[in-house]
This record gives sequence, structure tokens and C-alpha cells, in this order.
Amino acid sequence: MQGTNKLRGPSAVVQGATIEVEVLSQDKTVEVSTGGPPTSYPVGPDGKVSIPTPPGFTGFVSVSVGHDLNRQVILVEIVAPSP
Amino acid sequence: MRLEPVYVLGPKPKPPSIPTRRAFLIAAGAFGAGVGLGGVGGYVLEIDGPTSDSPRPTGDVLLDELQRLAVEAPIEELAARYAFFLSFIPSTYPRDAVLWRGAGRLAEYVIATERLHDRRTVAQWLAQVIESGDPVAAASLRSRISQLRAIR
Repeated sequence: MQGTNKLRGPSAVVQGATIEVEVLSQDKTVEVSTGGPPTSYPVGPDGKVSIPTPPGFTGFVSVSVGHDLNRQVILVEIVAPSP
Repeated sequence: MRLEPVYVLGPKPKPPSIPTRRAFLIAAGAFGAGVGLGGVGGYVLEIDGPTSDSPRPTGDVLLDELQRLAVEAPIEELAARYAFFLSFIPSTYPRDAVLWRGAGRLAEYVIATERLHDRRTVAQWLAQVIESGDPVAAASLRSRISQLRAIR
């Protein structure tokens, strides 16, 4: 696990799994990017978000919460499943 | 006996031509003035044009801070805040030349610094941001992608 004071999540997940993150602030959405324009995901009432991993993708995904100078970011690695 | 003037029809007289040396000096002066004016015009365009990559106050507090990180902050500070810094390129300022200059500075540092904390993560993430970046704004950094991806 890794995290900031606003966001907690795994350091790595296996391709095809979901990234489960916990938002510890009052933010209503998180933004997810693989390096390009981000996609927004709503934060559930329990402060949790399930983010599907992009099909066939390995590499890093950024998950961010907060706006402007208050943004906090974690990077989650998507790894290929062991053969 | 009396002498009368006689008028003979002749070719129209040509105006005296400018001596070669003077013509050369005039042309050289005009060329020099053109170069000077062109230079001034180019300088003004560089400052005010959209391709400028030098930081200057923008009136946008976030962009000012990111531009400071990009080109003015110590490289160690930029490297420590890379995830924050790089997150705004795809999401908010995809074509800002100063921020891309910062990304280039970060790339050079990551490639050159073997003992950098989280070096592989920084390198891979930076490669992804460059690869997905604006084709024109990120063009000069594309040659770094293979070097960044090779960091394990």
C-alpha cells in the first residue's frame, strides 16, 4: 500500500484486476491517467473507488485527487500476470 | 552676314547614373536596416508568441508554480515532486512549452542519476507522459523514450 493524507491505494496490481483506492478527503471524484488525458471516477459514499485496469495494458497508472496546488497523486503499476 | 542658331533633334539625355560604390553603400544600408528590424520583430514575437518557453507571470497561480518547478527550482525538488508536476501536463496544460522543458530537464536528470530514489518509476511514468503527449509539444523529447524505458 502507498498513500498520502488524501489518498491510499496499492503500489501494484495484476493486469485485469481492479485498483481499489480510498479517498480520505471530501473530494467527490478521482482522476485516472495512463499518461494521456485523464478519466474521472466517482468516489463512493464509503470513500472508496474501484478503477478497472485498461485491457492489455502494463505500465503505470496515476490516480489523483484534489485540485490545483492541493492535488495529490499516487502511481500504481499494472503488471502482467505470472505465466 | 549673320549667324543663326540651328537646333538639331537628338536623343534625350540620360540622368547621371549612381556610381557603383554609392549604390553598393545604399544597398548595404538597406540590408542592415532590414536585418535590424527583422531581429527586433522576431524578438517581440519570441516574447509574446505562443512558442515562448521562458517562465513569466501568467496570472494563473498553479501554472506559475509548475513553471517555477519546471525551470527554476533545483532539480532535486522537481524530481521529488515529479508525480504532482507531471500530472498536470496531460490533464491541464498539454501544450505548455515551459512545462515540457521541465519534463526534458527531469528526463536528463533521471537518465544521468543512477541512485535516484524510485528511478524506475519516475523513468517509466515520464516515458508514458511523453509518449501520450501532444505530438508537437513533446516532439523534442520523443528521442528520450527508449532511454527512459531501458531504466530497470
